Amino acid sequence: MPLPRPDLRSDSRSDPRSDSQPDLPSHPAVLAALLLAVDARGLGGLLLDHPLHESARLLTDTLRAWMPQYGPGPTPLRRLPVGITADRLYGGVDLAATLTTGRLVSDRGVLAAADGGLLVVPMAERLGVPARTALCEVLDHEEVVVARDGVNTRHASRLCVVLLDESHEDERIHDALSDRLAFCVNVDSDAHELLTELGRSASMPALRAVLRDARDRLARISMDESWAAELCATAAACGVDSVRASLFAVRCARAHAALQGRLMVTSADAQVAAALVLAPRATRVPMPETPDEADAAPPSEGDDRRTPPDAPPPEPPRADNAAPDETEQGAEQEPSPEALPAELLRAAVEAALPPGLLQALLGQQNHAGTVSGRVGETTPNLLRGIPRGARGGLPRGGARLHLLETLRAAAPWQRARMRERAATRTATHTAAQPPARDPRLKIRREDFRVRQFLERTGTTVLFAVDASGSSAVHRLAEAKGAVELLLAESYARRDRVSLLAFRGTGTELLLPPTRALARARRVLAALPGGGGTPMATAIDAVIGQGLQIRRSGSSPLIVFLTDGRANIARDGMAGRARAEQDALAAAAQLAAQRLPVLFVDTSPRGEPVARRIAEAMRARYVPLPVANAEALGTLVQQARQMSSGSGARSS
Amino acid sequence: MRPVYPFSAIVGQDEMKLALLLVATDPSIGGVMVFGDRGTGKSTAVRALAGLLPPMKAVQGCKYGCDPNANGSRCDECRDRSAQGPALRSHLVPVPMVDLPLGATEDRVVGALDLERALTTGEKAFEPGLLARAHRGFLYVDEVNLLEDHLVDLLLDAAATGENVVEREGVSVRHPSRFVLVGSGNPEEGELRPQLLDRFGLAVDVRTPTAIASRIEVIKRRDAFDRDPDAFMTHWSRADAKVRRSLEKARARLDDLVVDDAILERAAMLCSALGTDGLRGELTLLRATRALAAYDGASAVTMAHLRAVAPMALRHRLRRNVLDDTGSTTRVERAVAELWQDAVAAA
Repeated sequence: MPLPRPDLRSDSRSDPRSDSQPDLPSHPAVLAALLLAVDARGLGGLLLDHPLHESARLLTDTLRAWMPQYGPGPTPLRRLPVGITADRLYGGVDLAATLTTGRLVSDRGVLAAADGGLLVVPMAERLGVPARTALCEVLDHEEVVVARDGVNTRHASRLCVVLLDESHEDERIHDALSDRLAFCVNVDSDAHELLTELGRSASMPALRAVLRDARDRLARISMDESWAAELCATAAACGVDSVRASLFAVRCARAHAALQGRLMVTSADAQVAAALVLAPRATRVPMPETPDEADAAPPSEGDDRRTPPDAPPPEPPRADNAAPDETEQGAEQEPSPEALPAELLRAAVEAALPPGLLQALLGQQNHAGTVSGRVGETTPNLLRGIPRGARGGLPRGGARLHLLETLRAAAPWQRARMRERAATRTATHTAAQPPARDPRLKIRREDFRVRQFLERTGTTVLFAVDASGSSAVHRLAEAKGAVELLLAESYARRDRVSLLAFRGTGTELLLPPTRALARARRVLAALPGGGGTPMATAIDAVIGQGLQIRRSGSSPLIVFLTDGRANIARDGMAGRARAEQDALAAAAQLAAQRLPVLFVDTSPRGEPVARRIAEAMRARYVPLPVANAEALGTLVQQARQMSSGSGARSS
Repeated sequence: MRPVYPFSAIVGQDEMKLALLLVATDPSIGGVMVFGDRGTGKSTAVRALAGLLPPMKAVQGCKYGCDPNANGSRCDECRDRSAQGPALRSHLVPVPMVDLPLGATEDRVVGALDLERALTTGEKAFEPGLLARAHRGFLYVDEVNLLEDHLVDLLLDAAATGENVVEREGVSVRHPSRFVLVGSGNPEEGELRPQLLDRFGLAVDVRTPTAIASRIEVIKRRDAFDRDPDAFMTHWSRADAKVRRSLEKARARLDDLVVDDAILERAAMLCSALGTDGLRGELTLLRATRALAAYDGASAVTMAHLRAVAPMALRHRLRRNVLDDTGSTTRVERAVAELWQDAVAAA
């Protein structure tokens, strides 16, 4: 059954506004904001790439002014602090109201309070896992499901999310979140000026009227199917894997057409969509026609679609949008003098790519793709202090009161206590002395509950693997095997692992602490060998990493796999004697930090130097010849017990 | 809240859809774990399945939605009521599909003292949690690998025993809680605890469709759905109804299907060739095989059914071989191919 679709052609011709549209700003950031003001719910929001504080504020304020008002008040704008707790995010019990009324009153969290408006997330790269997943849920379902602290409810939460990317070095916004927003833009000085101008100028009411019209028109915009196909093909050509991106591109093209006062999507709209939505996500530069056709275009359907839309077809589609069998329809359309849409879109993407990026993308494969997942477990709030219920006790000495549980503990006794009090009062008070006003709740010392946190310090095993020539000759492969077995064990234990390799004159942190063992394995397999043994530098790096792991709330355990034959000194000069001296000094420093170390000597017959270094580290020394892989596992286990503070403890 | 996308309108992802239909046919298979990339319609499929399921009979007035015909697994209240009085009245209710948000607190999952009643009337009453709501239905945890460990423990315990035991702040309650656990997650973002993984009956991998034609189809349907959900639902309602009928028929047929010894033997050989631990894998494999035969409308369970479900029933149970990076799906398929070849040679 075909879907009912109105014939819009006559409509579009008679639309008087289509010629009188004001020129829209072409700056991506401003244009993205305008498009969001047209279709915030369809486009999700935008990511601002390292904005200046003032620029970000200007953009969000302007966007808020542009957005439609759903409720009676002004469009909400809420900021999400990085350290927001789940109770404020989702909402929960309104304690004050609950206590005064004597019945459970819930309050809305930030997600529900921002419904119909903007939610600004500064330092989005540091957003914790709970907040991130909550945002993803809300963007997907437009509502918050609250199931906490005695409250079970849902609130509408239709948000336009603005993420401020303020990451540096290896931090980055989680893909799951950025994937759900249509745009990623840079608010540079041009955009700033333009926004100031638009905000100041007398044209603001006119612009608002344009946006209002566009929103009205949005539902009626028709789009030839071939444009959806072209946008998908372009996404594939640019290596954009996420299906969401293509969907955003389609919606963006529609919103742009609406903004332009059109009722039909044209090539201009599709180009804007490609430039604004697809280009920032590109993981490779779209290739010229020929090689792309071969691998990207599917045989039947795709070819059909590729040829017909020589132009934005003049005929509005009346076709069933959902049925898969509508392929010939395009062939009937007349060709027009415009260029091939696929090329146009590709050109639009290429033009929108920042100049430096091209080179970077060419050198590096799959930046934003699905294979990478380098985000891993970097959020400290997941590891530190997971709230886990409450226990009896007074809120002192830093323990935080768990109000709700205290109430729960007190609740069953209220009637009895009231009676008790009434009884004592009649006994002691005479009629002359008016009774003091009763408190509504009688909470006693034994009712108090304090929050209990589970501080899962956990263990992070830092492997320092010697990939130097001497080791490589001997048994880099075996060392790798041993590490892999240890990895498997760490997996079962839910330890985190980190991998550091050293060779030549330097060390390289191959893998920051992560629980994604699949990555660890891949990284390890790709580890090349060769070069000198910069023992001292390696130990220094290990100390740094070990302390960092400790700071993040986890207990470090260091496993060295090396033959200890240091031959590169700290300053990078070759020479065995100096190198050894430096290594021993560094090892002493390591010992001073009281970092637990397991030293696995990978030399064929046990190396005296290695033993000396291990001793200086106060490490547990194990020569690999005796340590077959399984025995090594037990050793790590013992070392883990040795390392203090592992496991859970409550505070 | 957005309307639910129709199940049959999901493009591709056949393995995921099949796995969901199999556990809907026979809930004793256990849950489904869906591994996959972002934006592949994992949660869409799960929610869509809920929209598709035929309603079930439940005891009227029972807060756990007990099955009027199940004598063994009723809540205390229903047991008392049926022991005392006449037959319990029942009514049709939709199969529950409960979302476990990652921000859920323990008291909401297992249930807790009803604070409001305690404060106002001083009555000690139990307020059921999500585990009660999910009874006889589905419990869906998106990004289950990010769920806090103590919540995972609660889920595991309930899933294993089929009941929820609450001992908190003076409340002492036990009630049945049998649910199909459906989890989704991306293993790159943190691995799943092996204990939890093993509890899922089936595991499927979903990938972003690579063929442009199917991607275009995804976009087109999604776009049509967003623009006019009602028309879209009407358009797909017939296809959904067809799936629902197959499901109903499959459930009715399930008890009549017997798995013969040859298939039992082959399943056992497959499990031992793959070195899967424990009986759980074998049992799941057989149940899934039978469910597939029922869903297909076949008159007998065949080797082909076994072969078809083997990857999803076994891929998450393989002992991790860190030195062999071959994907688990490939390993299952390889073992299947070898066994079937041997069988042909032997015959």
